[in-house]
Amino acid sequence: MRATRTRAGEPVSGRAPDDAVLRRYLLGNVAPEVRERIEARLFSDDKTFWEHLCLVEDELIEGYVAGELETDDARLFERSFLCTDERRSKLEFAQALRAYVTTQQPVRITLWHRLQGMVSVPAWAVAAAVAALVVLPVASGFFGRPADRAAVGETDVVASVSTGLVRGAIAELPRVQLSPDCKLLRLRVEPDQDHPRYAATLYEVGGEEIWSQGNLTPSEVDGRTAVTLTLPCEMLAAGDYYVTLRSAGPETSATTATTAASRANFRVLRP
Amino acid sequence: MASAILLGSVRAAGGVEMTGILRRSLTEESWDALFDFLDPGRSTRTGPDRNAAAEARCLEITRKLVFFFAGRACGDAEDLTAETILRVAGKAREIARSPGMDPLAYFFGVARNVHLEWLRDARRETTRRESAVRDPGFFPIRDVRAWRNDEIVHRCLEQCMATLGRAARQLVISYYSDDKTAKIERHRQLAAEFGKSMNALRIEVHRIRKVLRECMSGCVQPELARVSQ
Repeated sequence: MRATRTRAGEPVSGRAPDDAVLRRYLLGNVAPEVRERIEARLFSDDKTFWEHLCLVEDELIEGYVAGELETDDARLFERSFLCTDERRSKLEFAQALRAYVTTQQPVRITLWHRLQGMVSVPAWAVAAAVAALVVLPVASGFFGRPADRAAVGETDVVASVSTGLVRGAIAELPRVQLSPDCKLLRLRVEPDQDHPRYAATLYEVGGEEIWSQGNLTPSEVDGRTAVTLTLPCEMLAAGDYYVTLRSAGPETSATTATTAASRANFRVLRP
Repeated sequence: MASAILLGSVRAAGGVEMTGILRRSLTEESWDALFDFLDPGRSTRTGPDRNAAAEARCLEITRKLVFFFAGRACGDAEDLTAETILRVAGKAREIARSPGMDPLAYFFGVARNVHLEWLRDARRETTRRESAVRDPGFFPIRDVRAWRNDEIVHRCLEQCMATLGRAARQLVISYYSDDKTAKIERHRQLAAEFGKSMNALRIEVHRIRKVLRECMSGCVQPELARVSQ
């Protein structure tokens, strides 16, 4: 392996600094000679080092948001590290992400086993594919009216289903047909009881929970009140599902909401 | 505006001095020269992607310069970064003709000079800097209200998370769902499940997070503008 050099061709001496040194550098708490060594790498062609430094920066911010920094480091973070708008913006993002994650159901091991190996394919980096989705009308019954269909742009489709009591009888299922390149399903679930906020959970028909979210606010569209769930189509294989809605406070996750649930059933069809 | 395109991710810090050079606009010729300096093959290309490599290079250098000045405890890191870029842009046509001249090394040298001058000026003009005025035309200043609006941020996060693949989305949520000891154990568990080392998992999450952050940056401002209408 060739030695790392600055762009001017001068060798960058020594091995790459470790995480602790980079954290101290970011906090402005290293000796001048250490700082200069880091700067030499910063302006070298060492792309691995550059990514590593950015990674440590992210983790430093995350550590601050999680309250994991020592008192002195936290003080340096506030007084020294947060000296640019970009870093302040990253802090805001980290706080928002953390708040978001707390509203999400932790993923169970069983799901992770199914996901194993998928992360090596960076699907998130692939440009959005055009989605097509058809919600087939169904006969009235338990749900009272057929599922709705509405296109939103080229990648999203909206479908509506209504809820009833959990122990109610199940009539014909609203059917949702997803094309292979479908991206998002915006599922409007109409609650049968009015609450200011809801927690929603999506289950496979066998009862395995596959998604949940708290702190959902209902909105009115075309005279109907509904809670909109944004579901990645790839999460939904062909089969039967049901969604439960529970009343929830602003800080409530789907798992901690305790009131009785309403339930909406639907069937996903794929070609 | 070329500068806004180039430096869109860098914004002026509050309450800092903007030096005279930042108040002057560079000519299109200077930006062209800078682009050619950063991407020598650009002059032979045409089409909409002609500037893409130079812009990417400039953004990377911009970020490195911000690190450099921030690492030297400069409260004016973003302004000094702009100062450095503008100085290089002003000389780009001339220095591009020097054989073997490397842009990154040149930026580094100019940045060191800018820092030395800043140290001198800081000693001399500490009080004057406090009352100086920023030039909003150079750095597009984002409206922080967007990040204060929980509803917008949450909506944007939902949209951006939905653009991730399922595995990436679940990985991010799971990776950040615990604190301290439980977090370490969870990361170890995730690494084992994905067949990756802990460090490879860190890098994976870092890259996903970067995609997410860029998506958020492109979402919250338009959302705020839409809501404000």
